[in-house]
Amino acid sequence: MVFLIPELSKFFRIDMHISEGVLNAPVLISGAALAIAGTAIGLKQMDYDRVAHVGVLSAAFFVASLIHVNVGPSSAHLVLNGMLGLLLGWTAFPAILVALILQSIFFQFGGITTLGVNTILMALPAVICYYAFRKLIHRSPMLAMMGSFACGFVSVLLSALLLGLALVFTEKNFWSLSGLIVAANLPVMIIEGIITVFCVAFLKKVHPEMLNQEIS
Amino acid sequence: MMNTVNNVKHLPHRYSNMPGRAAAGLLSVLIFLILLNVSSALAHGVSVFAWVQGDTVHTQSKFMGGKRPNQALIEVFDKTGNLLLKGKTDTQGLFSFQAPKISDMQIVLTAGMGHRAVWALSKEDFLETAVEPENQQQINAITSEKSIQSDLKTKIVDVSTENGLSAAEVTALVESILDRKLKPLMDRITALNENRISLSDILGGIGYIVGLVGLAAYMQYRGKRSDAEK
Repeated sequence: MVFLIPELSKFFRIDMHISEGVLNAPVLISGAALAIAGTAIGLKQMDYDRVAHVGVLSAAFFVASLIHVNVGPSSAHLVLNGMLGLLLGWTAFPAILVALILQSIFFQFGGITTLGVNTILMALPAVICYYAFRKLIHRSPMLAMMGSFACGFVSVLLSALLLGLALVFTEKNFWSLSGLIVAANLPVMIIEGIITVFCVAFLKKVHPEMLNQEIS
Repeated sequence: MMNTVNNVKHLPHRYSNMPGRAAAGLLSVLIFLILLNVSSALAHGVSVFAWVQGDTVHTQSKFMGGKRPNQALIEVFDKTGNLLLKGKTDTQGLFSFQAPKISDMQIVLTAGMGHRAVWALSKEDFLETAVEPENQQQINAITSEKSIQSDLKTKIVDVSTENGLSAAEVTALVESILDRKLKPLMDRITALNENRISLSDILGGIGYIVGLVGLAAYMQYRGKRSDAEK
């Protein structure tokens, strides 16, 4: 981590949203294609009786990006994609896409051309975490707690690595870049891990069915 | 998936609303956190603003919320997209350069990690301020186009001959005073130029999502009704 030290001496801000005009066309196009595919699967699997849940989680994601966690010289924002993935599965794709469109219109986060890439950055880790941790949260309380913490933690970690991967075509060094992104997002990972633990514990108590979503 | 739906229906009524309440609770906590911590919550995105003093172009870069990008790349392009020059911002997010030529230019800030912002400077921004004696001919050409300005110019020349000051000296003097007087105004414009996120933006976005949910619920309801009628 030595290579990070000169970088850490100055202020840096890391967002999960990539602005317009940063990425080249191949990255943008492949991002958009993957996002369309993910959204199509999500819409197909969406249970329309639970559309209100999707909307509320989409709104939570929409405002979470406004909350910045500042630690030392670094700053990163909440993502909540682990939570969305765990509760929505593939439906996290349309939920995140809608929130990102609104964020780019209202807050100028990201942009219309980078919409596809940004959707992949945040929704793909959500789906991966859904498959990785959905079983674990029904085990013994201890395992469930660890599983839900890991879900919140790993989803942000994967997003940070995907961000590094997307930017590697425009910035020089993948490892130092990704190290920087992960370092700035470390507090966010821990906070989201804790948020996910509390949400899962609460939902298990009051409405376990919400965590039982199976792919039909 | 159908299994889940059935489970929901068999639940006692007092439970069926709970996840919605939990999610709404989470949402309101998030909004509360934002309101509590507005200044840093608004910190997102980056902006660049440029203005002209004499033949020098000053640029100021800011992250939303006030933090300044340090050592961020500034590139200046002309109208046709050729790179004129580039430089780095200082700790205050400032970067100044001598305009290599008077033309429209695009000032592009790249603050790393996917942050980028653009400010367009038009030729007109330079015209009033170019005062170097070697530019005098150019100024003559410009001012002769506008009668008021040329009136002003003859007056300046009159004054200057009485006091023994050259026209160029007077213009330079006026320039420096104007620059000083306009500085606070410029700072204010810079501050206004920041894209601030207002509460109405946040609520507007949430409203859109609620509207979409309503739309989806309506479609679902219509589908169910037409099924029932068959």
